Amino acid sequence: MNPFSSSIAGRVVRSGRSRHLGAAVLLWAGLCAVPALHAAPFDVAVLPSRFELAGKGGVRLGQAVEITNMGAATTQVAVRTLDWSYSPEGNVTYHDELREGSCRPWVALERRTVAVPPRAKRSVRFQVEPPAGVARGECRFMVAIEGVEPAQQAVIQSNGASLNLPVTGRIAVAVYVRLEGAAPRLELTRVGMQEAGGRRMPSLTVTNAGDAHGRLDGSLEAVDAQGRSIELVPEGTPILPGQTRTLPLLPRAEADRPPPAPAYPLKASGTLDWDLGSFRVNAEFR
Amino acid sequence: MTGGRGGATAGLAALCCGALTTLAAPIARADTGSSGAGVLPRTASANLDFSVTIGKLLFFRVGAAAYPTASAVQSSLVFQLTPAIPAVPTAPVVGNNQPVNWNGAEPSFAVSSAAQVLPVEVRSNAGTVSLQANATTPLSSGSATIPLSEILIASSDAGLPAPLVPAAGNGPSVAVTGTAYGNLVTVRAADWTFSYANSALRRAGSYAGLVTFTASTP
Repeated sequence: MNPFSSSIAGRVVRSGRSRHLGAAVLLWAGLCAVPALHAAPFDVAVLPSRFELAGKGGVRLGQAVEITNMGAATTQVAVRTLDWSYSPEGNVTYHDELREGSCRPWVALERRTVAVPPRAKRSVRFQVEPPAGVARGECRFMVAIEGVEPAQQAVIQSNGASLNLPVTGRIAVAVYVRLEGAAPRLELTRVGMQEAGGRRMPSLTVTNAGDAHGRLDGSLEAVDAQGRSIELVPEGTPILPGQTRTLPLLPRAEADRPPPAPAYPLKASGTLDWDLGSFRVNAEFR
Repeated sequence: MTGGRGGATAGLAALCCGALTTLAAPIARADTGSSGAGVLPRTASANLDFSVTIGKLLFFRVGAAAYPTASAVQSSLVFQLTPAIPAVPTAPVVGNNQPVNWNGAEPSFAVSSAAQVLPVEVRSNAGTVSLQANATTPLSSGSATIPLSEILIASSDAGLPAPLVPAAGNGPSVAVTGTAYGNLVTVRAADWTFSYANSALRRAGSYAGLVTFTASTP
């Protein structure tokens, strides 16, 4: 791979040596005129990183996101809302445009930009006001905290061409509002092994037949083929209404230690919880 | 690289403590007990119940300012390209005004890069962290454009992969692998190395664009 090997000038000018060299000189002059942009590292923490709220039509909900600048220089961040979608495979996609059924028009942000001094915190409040008579369901959106200035400046220079690629960071805070008593209804449909990341691992397939997102919690006690006790934890990502997702069961690692690699077969049992219920699991993974 | 898990986890704890001062203050409920009757000596007992709430935190760093020793230094990714005439049929001779036969093939460009690495860091206690790249502004020079998918990124840590930069709009997300407690806690730092795919002929010019990386814990 040729890192940023922008042979742009050389490939464009092909008809004759003199034209080639002349173009190179001219373009080199243009290259030197690349404007320098101010940059500041995006070095930000947000708290909380996710809101899971309950609301009713005609009742305003107020919340605040705390933004901490961990850097040594003041950081300017912009605040706005985004729609998002989530695939059964766990891929997040953000949408600037309003999607059908979006509840972003109900959201009011306190500020559009915030300057956060170094090693300091600033809160940004937002309100969600579902209209009276809103249907039962779940309102989902993201509050995006994004760097205004480029966090890093990539400048690729060649004889006659340059690529100027600033990069910046953004944190998207997920907000879920369960309206009029909306709730998940999770059903465990399969327990088995799945292929992920080039290796097989224990997994669960769960369907959400409710009208709000749900998550799995809890753990299973397992014993592997070598007699070692291993705790299996389900991936805690959301299962949106109507979705069927296959979630891995991951060996829990203690702090500062790598997770144990189980030797199969692995016998596991225990109870996994979700918001309004639990699943009793008794399985052998091989 | 995961950057020393012991210290890193301690760092996350420090980060959480710093950020959670207001939200995670322990709540103590008072209890009382008394004894005014019965056989001496009398005894009284009281329970002290604690409730500690730990909020969900997400920290994302893009650029050179490693926590907790952040600095105001901003680094740049600068690539210098040196053209070379194909050494066919005669190898070029080093020096000024040296003649060389050139078969007209396009020159090649050797890249010397001083710093082409973007340091990134993710810390969270909120479960799986998702990263995604957004082609905020395409690489353009006047009317000419280069799709941002020409920009490739390789990560030094498979647990903190770089998301694919799309030609335009939003790219697919990637998951950051947790480092402790069954993916619930993530402390990862990596260097993302940028490269240019150079897959097509492009017009000469100064191309500028913008890529935004987004972290979230959906």
